[in-house]
Amino acid sequence: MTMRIVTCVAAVPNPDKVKWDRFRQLLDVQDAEPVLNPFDRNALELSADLAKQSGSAFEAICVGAGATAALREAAVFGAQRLIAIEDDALEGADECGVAAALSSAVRSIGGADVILCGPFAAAFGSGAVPGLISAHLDASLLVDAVGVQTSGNGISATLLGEASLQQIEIATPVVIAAAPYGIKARAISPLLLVKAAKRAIESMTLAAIACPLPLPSSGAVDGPLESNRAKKSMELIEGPDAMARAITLVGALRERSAV
Amino acid sequence: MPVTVDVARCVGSRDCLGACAFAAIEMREGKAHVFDNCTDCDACVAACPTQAIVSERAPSSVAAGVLAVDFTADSAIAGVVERGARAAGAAATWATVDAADAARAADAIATAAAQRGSTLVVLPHAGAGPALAGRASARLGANLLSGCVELVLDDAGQVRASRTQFGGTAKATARVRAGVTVATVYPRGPKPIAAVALEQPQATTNESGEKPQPPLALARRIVAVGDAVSSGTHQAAMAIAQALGAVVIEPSAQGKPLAPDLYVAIGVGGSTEHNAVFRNSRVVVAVIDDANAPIVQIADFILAGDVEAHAKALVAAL
Repeated sequence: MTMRIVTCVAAVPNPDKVKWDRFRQLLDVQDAEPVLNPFDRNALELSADLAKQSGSAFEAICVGAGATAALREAAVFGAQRLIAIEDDALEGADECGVAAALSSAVRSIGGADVILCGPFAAAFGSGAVPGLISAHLDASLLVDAVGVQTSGNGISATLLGEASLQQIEIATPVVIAAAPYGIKARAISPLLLVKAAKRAIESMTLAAIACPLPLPSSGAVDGPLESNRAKKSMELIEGPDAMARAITLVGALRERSAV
Repeated sequence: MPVTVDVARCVGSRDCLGACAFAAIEMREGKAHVFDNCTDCDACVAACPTQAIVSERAPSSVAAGVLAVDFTADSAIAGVVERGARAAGAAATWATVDAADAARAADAIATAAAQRGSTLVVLPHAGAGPALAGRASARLGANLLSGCVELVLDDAGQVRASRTQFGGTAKATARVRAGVTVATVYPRGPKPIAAVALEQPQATTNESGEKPQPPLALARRIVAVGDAVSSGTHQAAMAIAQALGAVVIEPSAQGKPLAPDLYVAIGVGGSTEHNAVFRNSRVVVAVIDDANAPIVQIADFILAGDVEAHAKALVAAL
C-alpha cells in the first residue's frame, strides 16, 4: 500500500557550538552554523523505513532560516522532495508559528497519510510541535515511536511505554513523533552531504502555502536570557591525591544529603 | 514580600539559593537575604532545612483552577505543581491519562480543562507530555508554556515561569498573556498523587513485554559510565553504583530528561544532548580527565584528573 509520507524537520544552531558568553551575558551563537536538529534524524530514519516497506517516497519540509542546510542532511536519508518554507514573517516565530506554517505546507502539497517529526528541537526543546500539527490537521497523534509499519488501511507503530514497548494500530492521517532514543539513525558522512548538495530544494513563501498571517504565537514572552549556571555552586574538588579528593567529595555529598 | 527570613534559625545551608528560580535570594554574612523581586512562589520555604524562611501570605480568595496531568499515580512534577498552585491559594486537581493514543489523551485533557474552567493545565516535560500539551493548547486556544523548571500561578491568575533554552544552557523568566495556559514542567522527584483517570476512548494496544530501558524516571541515584573508560574504571563505577544503590546507564542511550537526586558521571564528556537530559539532577558529580569538558557546565562537584584513580578512591571513600 503506497502512502504519502512527509517528514517535518527543523534547523537549529549547531548545539555543540552554542555557548554562554559570561562577559556579555548572552548566548553566543555566532559560530553555530545551522544544522539539522539532531533529534530529527530519528524521524527521518523512521520515514525511510516506512517508505521502503510501503514502496512509497517521502518528502521533507523545513521552516525558517537555515532550512536549506537542514534539508541537505535530510536528503541523505533518502527524502525525494525537499521543501524549504522561507519568509520574513517567520523571523521570531515560536513553536506555535512554526507548527502553523508546517501544517499549511502539508495541506498545500495535498496532505499526507503519515507526518513524522522529531521529539523536540535541540535549541528550544519544546516538543509541542507534533501535537500542534496534529490539532491543525485534525490527525491522530502518536508519540515516542521507535518503529512504524504499514498495517491494513492504517499504521502500526511501536511506542516506548512506561515500562515496556507498546504496539498500537491507528488510522491515517497520523502525526508521529519519533522517540529521542531507541532508533539507530545512520551517520551522515561528508561524502553523502556533498552528493546531497546537488539535490534541488523547492523554496516557498507563506503566501504560496496559503498560511494565514499573522502567525499564531504561544502567548509566552521570555525575559532576558541568563546563564542556567548562575546558581550552580560548581566546585572543583582539590586535594593532594585522589583519595583525599574522594574523601572531600563524599563529605560534601553527605552535607547535601546526596549520599 | 510575604517571605521573611528568621536569621536566628538560618544556618546558611544555601538550599534556598538552589530552590529559587528567580535569583531573588543571596547570602549576606552567612544568612539568606530575600530581594524585592521575590515572586512569592515559596520554593525557598519548602527547601529550607531549618524552617528559617517563613511565608506570611494570607490565603487567597482567587479560586484558580489548576489541572495537573501525569501518566502514573506517582508524579515527578507534583512538588513543582504544588508550589506553583500554592501562590494562588489553589489546590491542583490531579488526573492521569493513557498516552498510547496521544490524540485522544490530549483531547480528553482539553475537554476536562474546559469543563472545570481550569486556568492552568500542567503536564510533565517528558515522554508524551510536550506533544499532548501542544495539541491540548491548540484545542483550548490556550497559551503554551513549555520546558518550565519552576512555575507560579499568582493570586491574580497570572502565570510566571522560569524555563530553559538551548538544552539548558540558558534560562529566562517567562510570562504569558491572560487566559488559559497549558504548561510543561521538568520532572523532579516522584511523589504519590491522588488522581482520577480521565475518560478517553481506548486504542488497541499490545504490551510486548520487552523492556526498552530500566525505569530511570523513578531512579533517585544514577551512575553513568563513559564509552571510552578503562576496564578498571568500569569495575570501579559498578562498585560505586552498588555502594550508592544507583542505577547504571550508558549516557549515550538516554534521551528523556531525568532528575535524580544524585547523578555521578564517570568518564563522560557531556554532549549538549547529554547535558540537557541530566541538567535538572539535584546534585551532579563529574569524574573526568579534563576540567574544561562540557559536562562541567552542569556539574556541582568535579573530580578532574586520572579518572580510574578517582573512581577507585571514591569506592574506598564511600
